[in-house]
Amino acid sequence: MSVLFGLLWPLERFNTAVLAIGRVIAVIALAIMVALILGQVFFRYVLSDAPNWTEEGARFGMLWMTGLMAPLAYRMGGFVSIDMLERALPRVISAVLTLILLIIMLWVLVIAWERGLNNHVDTLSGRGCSSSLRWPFGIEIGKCGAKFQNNFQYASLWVGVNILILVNIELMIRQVIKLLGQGDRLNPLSAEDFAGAD
Amino acid sequence: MLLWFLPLFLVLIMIGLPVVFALLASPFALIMLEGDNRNVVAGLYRNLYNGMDSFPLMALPFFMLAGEIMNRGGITLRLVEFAQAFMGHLRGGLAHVNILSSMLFAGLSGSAVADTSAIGSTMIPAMEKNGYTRKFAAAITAASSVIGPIIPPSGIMIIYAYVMGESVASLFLAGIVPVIMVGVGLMVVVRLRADRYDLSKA
Repeated sequence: MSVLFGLLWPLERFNTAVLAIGRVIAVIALAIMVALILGQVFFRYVLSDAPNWTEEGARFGMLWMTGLMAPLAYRMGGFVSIDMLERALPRVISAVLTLILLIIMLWVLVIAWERGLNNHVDTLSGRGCSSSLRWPFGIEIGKCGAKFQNNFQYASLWVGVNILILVNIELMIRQVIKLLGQGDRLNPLSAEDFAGAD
Repeated sequence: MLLWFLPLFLVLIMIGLPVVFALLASPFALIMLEGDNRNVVAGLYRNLYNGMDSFPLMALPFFMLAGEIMNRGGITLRLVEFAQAFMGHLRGGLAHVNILSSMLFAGLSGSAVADTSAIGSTMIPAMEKNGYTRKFAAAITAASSVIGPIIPPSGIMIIYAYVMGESVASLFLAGIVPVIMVGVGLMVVVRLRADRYDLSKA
């Protein structure tokens, strides 16, 4: 049991820190989205001359916001599912079922991780350059120069999958601890800021 | 082999796998069983990404943000007060207030769950205090909150329009008449029950 708690402690700390940072970035991304879209509306309808990159920029923000917030939602149990069966079953069988579900989810995530890296982020299209997004102030990076590399947005989902895997492993360890009857020693995963998100 | 997609998907959902994972796990499993020669799984992953990378869907986070800002600004309570001033004098007033608040609040949130939690937490205790049964208060809150996704603007309609390639504006327009019918229907039932069970005014 102490081995499990020993494994859980660093992972829990790490996930909490990463998710907190991700949350801040996601909030900033949302703020940028709002600013860009408001700017676009102003330019289009007041000045009749909208810049072509605001839509792409806002979508960039949304992709990263989604990628970084999905693991947080997952950790708080925010993914839509039907929990009728889990509730109806006796405690031990229900805990075993949850563990099996977590294993299936880990399997899906590991496949997504591998295909996401090799068949999406690190591909010809991923290494290609964005048609409209450019670095500001004449900054030039890598072979795309002033343009954004497509990877920068493709990576959002893949980074999300990475954090989801970490969260999934944490949830699996927690589930095993619960199954062994030590669930009351676990720190509760706070959901106070998460209410009403759906 | 892909014939088994739907049964497998349904089984996975029924045993409690989150929908997004069930949507991925069932084709993953079937394609891998078949032998993933053309790397279809990578195509699935790219579709997942392309689903997120969409301009129309950006309406949803903005919509939630606007609803949250209005909610934090205390507009929920004011909506309830407005509904109270409007409908409170009728017999079974609080139930009418509940329905009207739901209809007004749906304009902010567009989600049945947000509607239930926001209106329910305010209205159910108030209704209980005024002599309504807990069952009736909960039932009227739940029944009226389904108005949320129908009344424009609605999150689910934006998703539907995006998936089916329909016009969002037409869908919103189409939502108005049904929602008024649902609202008026609920109010008629409340009025009939109010006479029968002698419900008080607000």
